[in-house]
Amino acid sequence: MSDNVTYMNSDPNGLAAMLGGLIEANLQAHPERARLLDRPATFAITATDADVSVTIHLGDGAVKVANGVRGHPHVSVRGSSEDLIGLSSVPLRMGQPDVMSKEGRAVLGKILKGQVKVRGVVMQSGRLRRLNELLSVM
Amino acid sequence: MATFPSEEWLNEYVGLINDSPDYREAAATWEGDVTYVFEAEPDNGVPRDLYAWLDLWHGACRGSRYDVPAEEGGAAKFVIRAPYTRWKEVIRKELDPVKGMMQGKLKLKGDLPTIVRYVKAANVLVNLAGSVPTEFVDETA
Repeated sequence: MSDNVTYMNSDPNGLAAMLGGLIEANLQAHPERARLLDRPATFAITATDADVSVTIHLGDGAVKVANGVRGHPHVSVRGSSEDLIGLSSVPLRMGQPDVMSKEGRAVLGKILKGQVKVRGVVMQSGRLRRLNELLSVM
Repeated sequence: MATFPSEEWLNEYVGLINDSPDYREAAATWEGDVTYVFEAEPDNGVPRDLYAWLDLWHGACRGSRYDVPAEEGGAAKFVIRAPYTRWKEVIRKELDPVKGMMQGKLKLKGDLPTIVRYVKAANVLVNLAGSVPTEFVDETA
């Protein structure tokens, strides 16, 4: 397990356990990704079909994972459980879904159709890139 | 019709896995055993936790064992556990397994990046459980 990730609730919800666990495993397998944790960023992620949310805060080399939406996130992502999982397995180019890949185009299509809602795509693109890289299993 | 949970049910399930072209394709490169833990619900006919182990390899199930000891079942590469009635919801297709994990209704132990890479295979695997003609232990006379 990675020492970088702290769960703010004694009983993390399923989404918090899954995303926190994914970040922990990725940091262990790719220690170079720890550079993504230095500057502050807060993300809210909601699985709309499961009615469950999580807040992920990065900063000072650490990740804090909390149940629900807390504070004022820089970026928020809302989508179905399956779509959120899909975001982690899409090939990335420069930290964004690679539109040259079938999976990348599928994600873009879902965003354009509003099936996956991302707030902060333009104004917070650097932070969003860091989130994508932290969660990517590719 | 096989009763869930039982060895007969598990054997029928394994047969469906090995007959499934969808699973063969989605899990073509999967390597790793999986244990399902059906957690005890004495009032519903499951007096203790039951561990069902599946040896999954390259799109097929090479072997299975029902009611393995907890320490053996828990040592599998991936362990999915939930109370009996949650499994019943999954088998009846009333609960989507990915959604159930997000809600914490199904608990997963194992390498999460691997599960995410094989989420389609995992979905096929769980959906096949819903194709086994099943009688539930708490509904048997």
